[in-house]
Amino acid sequence: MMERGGVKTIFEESKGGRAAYTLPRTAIGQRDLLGNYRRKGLNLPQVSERQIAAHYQNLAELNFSPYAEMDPLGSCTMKYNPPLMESLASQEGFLDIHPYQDESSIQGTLEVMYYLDQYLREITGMAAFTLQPSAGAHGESTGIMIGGAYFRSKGQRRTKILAPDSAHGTNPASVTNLGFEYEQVNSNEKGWVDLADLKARMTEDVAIFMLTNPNTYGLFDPHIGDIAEIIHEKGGLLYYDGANLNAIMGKCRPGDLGFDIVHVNLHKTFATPHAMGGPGAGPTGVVEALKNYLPVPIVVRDRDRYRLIYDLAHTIGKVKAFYGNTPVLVKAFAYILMLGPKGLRTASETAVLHANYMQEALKKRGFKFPYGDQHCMHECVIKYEGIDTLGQLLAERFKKLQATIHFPEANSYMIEPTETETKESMDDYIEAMVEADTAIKDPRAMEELEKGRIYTPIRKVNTRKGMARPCLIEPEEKA
Amino acid sequence: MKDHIPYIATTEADRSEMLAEIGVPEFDELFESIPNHLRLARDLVLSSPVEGMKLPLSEMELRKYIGNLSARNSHSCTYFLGAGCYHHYIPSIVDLFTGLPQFYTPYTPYKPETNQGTLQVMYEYQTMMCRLTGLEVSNASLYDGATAMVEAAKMAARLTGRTEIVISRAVHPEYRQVLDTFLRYGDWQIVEVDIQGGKTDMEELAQRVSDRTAAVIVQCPNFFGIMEDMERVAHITHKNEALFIYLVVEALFLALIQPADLGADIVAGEAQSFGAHMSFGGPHLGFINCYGKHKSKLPGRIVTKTEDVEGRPAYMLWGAAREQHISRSRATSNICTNHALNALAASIYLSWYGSEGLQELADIHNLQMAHYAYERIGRIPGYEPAFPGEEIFNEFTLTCPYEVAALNRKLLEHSIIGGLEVGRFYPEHENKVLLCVTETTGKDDIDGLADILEYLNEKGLT
Repeated sequence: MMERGGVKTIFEESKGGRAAYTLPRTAIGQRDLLGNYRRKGLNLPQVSERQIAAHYQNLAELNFSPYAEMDPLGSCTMKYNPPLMESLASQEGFLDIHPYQDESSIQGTLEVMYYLDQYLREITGMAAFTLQPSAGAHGESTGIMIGGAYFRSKGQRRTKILAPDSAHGTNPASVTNLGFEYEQVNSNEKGWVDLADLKARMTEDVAIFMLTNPNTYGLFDPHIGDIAEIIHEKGGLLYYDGANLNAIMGKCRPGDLGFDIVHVNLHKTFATPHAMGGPGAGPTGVVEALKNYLPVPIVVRDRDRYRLIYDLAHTIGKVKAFYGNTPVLVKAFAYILMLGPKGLRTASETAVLHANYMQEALKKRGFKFPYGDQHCMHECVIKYEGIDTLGQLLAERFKKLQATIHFPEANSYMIEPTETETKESMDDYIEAMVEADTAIKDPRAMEELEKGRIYTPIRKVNTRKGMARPCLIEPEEKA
Repeated sequence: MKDHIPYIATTEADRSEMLAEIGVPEFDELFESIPNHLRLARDLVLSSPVEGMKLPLSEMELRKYIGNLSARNSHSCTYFLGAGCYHHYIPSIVDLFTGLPQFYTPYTPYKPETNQGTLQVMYEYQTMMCRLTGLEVSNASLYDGATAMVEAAKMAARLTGRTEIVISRAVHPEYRQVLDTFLRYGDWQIVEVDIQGGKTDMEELAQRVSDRTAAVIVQCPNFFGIMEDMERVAHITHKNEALFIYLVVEALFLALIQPADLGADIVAGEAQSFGAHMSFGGPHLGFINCYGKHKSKLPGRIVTKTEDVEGRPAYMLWGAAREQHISRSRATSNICTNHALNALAASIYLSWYGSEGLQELADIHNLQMAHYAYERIGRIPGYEPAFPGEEIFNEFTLTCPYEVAALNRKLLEHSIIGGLEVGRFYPEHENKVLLCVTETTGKDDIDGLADILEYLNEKGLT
C-alpha cells in the first residue's frame, strides 16, 4: 500500500485575492513610465505565506534525505554535510557583500580565498589555483582552455584531447563543447588505461589526456608514472579529473603523480552539499608553467592586506562573472580547518576501508565484481543484470537510496559509502541488497516483499511516456 | 579532546572487523596500488591563517575565527551598487526552506522515485520563469548569467548552423569577457556592436547582422541601466533569419516587460534578483528560456511532468539524450552540477510576491524610486545624467565630480556602498558612476545620499 500521495502544484493552490508579500508604503509621486511596453498580465501563484510553508514542507518530505539514509551514489561522494559549515557560510558578512565593493571592505572573504588556494595547492601538489569555476565540469572547461592557451602561446597546433572510455561524461562533453576533438582511449581487462592504446593515440596533435585516478571503477591506476611519461614525452599535458580526490588526501598528490592541471569538486571531497544538483564549486589548479594562464582575478597577499590581481600575462580571461561561489568556498575552507592534515588523511583512509568492506561483504553474498580481484579505493562496482529492478526495489521496499547505475558500464552498480557512514548503516544496506536480490530470483520471496510497505511516494515512473510526451510547464489556468 | 576525527564514526573495533572481512592484516595493503615512490611520505602541511591558532580547529574555535572573517567584511550597508549583482530584500521564508536538509543535501534527481520533491520544485520553477518571459520551455538552472549567455549563443549556433555571434558592447563587460574566453577554440566569430549615447548603435547593428549571424545578443536594461529598442533588434535579427537572444541581467524587470512580446527567440541571463544573496558574486542563478521547437538543443536539466506506472502524477528529468552523462561527446553542454538550490529560492521568492507583489516591487520600489533618485541626485552640481533623456529601470549613469573610487571610500564611512566606476570597463566613460536603486534603498536613503553628496560638494572630499 502507498503511504504517501503527491503534492498539488503551487499553481493549483493559487486563488485570486491571496498574497504573502508585504512592502513598505511610499510617499513619492507615481509617473507614467514604460508606456506601451508594459506587459499585459502576469500569472504567478497567488498564495498566502502559510500555504507556501505547507507546500515546500510537503515537497521536502517527498525527497529521500541523505541525512536520513546512507547515499552510496558512486562517483558523487555523498558524504555528510556538517551543519556548522552551513551556518558559518550563511553569515551576513559573506552573503550581503557586493562583488564590486572596495577591496578594503571584503578582506574577510579574500582571506578565505587566499588560504583555500594555499590549502588546495598543498593537498594536490599544484602551484596555484583559480576558485572561479562553479562546478567540476566548469573546472574541466577552465583546465582545457588553460591547456589550449598554453599550446597556442607556444605556437603549437594541438586539436585533440584524449580520455579513457571509463571517463565521466563531462570529460568528452567539455572537450567537444569547447571545439576540440575528442578521442577515447581503451581500458584493459584490469580496468586500467591500456598503455599500448594510449601510446598509439598520443601523437603531437594531442593537447591533453584527461584522467580520473582512482578511476570510475574505483581503481587506482598503478601505471600512472608510465602514463605521465607517455604524455609528457610527446609534449602533452596531463589533466586530473578531481572527482575522486577524496580517496587519496594525504596519501599521494596529483602533482607528484605527474598531473599538470587539476580540478577539485568541493561538493564532493570537501563536504559541501550537493543541493539537489548545485551550487558546487570546481577550483582548478595548475603547475608552475601554467600559472600565468589562470582566469583572473586571483587573490594575493601584500603584507597584511589581500588584493585581487588581474595582470596575469597569458590569462584565459574569465569563466564566469565575478569570482566564484564564495559561500561554498567558505564551507570547504572551514571543513579543511576542522579536519586538519591528519583528519583529511583519515577521511580518505576510512572511505577506502568502507568501500573495500562493502565489496568483500557483497562478494561473499554472491554479487559479482568484474574487478573484484583487486582492492578498490573509495568505491566499488558490481555487475548485475536487471540492475534497474534491484535499484527500484531498494528504494521502494527498503527505503534505500539507489547507488549509481549503468556507469561506468551498462548494468553496473557503483557503490561509494564514504567515510561518514557507520558499519551498521553499511551492514543494513548490504542486508537490503541481499534481500532484494533474493526477491528478484525467487518469486515467492517477491510476493512476500510486495505485501509490505512502499516507501517511495510514487511507484516506478513511466519514463517512456515522460520522454515521448513532455509536459515541461504547467498549462495556464483558463480565466 | 580525545583523538576521534570529526564526522567519522568508525571505531578501532569496527576497523578490525572490517579488515578481517576484507582479509588483509594491515590497513596499508588497501593502498598497495599506489606505487611507493609516488606516495606522500610526510603529513600535509596546512599553515594556520592566524598566529597561535593550531589546526585542527574545534567547532567553537571555527565559529570564532570564521565569525571574525565575516565581521571583517563591510556588510549590512546601504547599497547603491548594482551592475549585474543586485541587493534585493529576501523574505525570511526563502532561507528557511533552502536550509532544509531534504533540499540542500540530495544529489541531482537521477532517480525520480526518491526525488519527487526536487523534481516538482524544478517543474514549478520552469513554469514561473516561462510565465515571466512568455516563452515555452525553461531549463532548471545554469551557473550564472554570463555562462547562461554563452550556452545560449552555442545553442543558437546549433539551431542555425551558423557561427557568428553579434553582441552589443552595452552588454555587461564581464559577460562579454566570458563569451570571449569560451569561444576562443573552434570556428567562432564574435562581432561587437558599439554604443551610441549609452545604447546599442542600431545603425551599426543593422549593418553587422547578416546571413552569417547565428545570434544577436542585446541586454535590456543594458549595462548603463538604459532601455534598448528590443523590437528593433528583433526586427533586424529576424530579417537575417538569425536568433534574437534577449539578455536579462536584472530579472526583476521581467515583472513589467515580457520579452516574448518584443520578439525574443531565446531569453537568457541572470535571475539572482529572485531570492539569491549577492554573496560576493556567486552562487547566482543562470537561466535560459526558449520556444518548444528549440528544446532539443537547450542545455541543462529539464523536468517534465508525467505519471507513474499506476497513473499518479509524477515528475522526471526529460531529454537526457541532450546531456553529458548519456551522450558524452555529443551532448549539448557539459553541464552537470547546476544551481538547483537557487532555483528553489527563486520559486519561493516568486510565490511569496505573487503577480501583484512582484509588479508592485518592480514598479513602485525600483522603477519609480529610481526615477526619484535619478532626478534628486541628478540635480546636484557635478552629477549630471550621462545619457539624458534615455529610459531607465532601476539603474542610471551620472557624471561624477571626483574619482569614483575615492568618493566610494568616503561614502563607506557612512555605511553606504556607492555606485560602479563605469570607466573601469569603458575607458571613454571615465569619472562616470552607475547607481542602482532597489526596494532596499528607500526615499530616506536616497535623500541621505543626496545630502552627503551636497555636503561633500561644499567641504570637498578630504
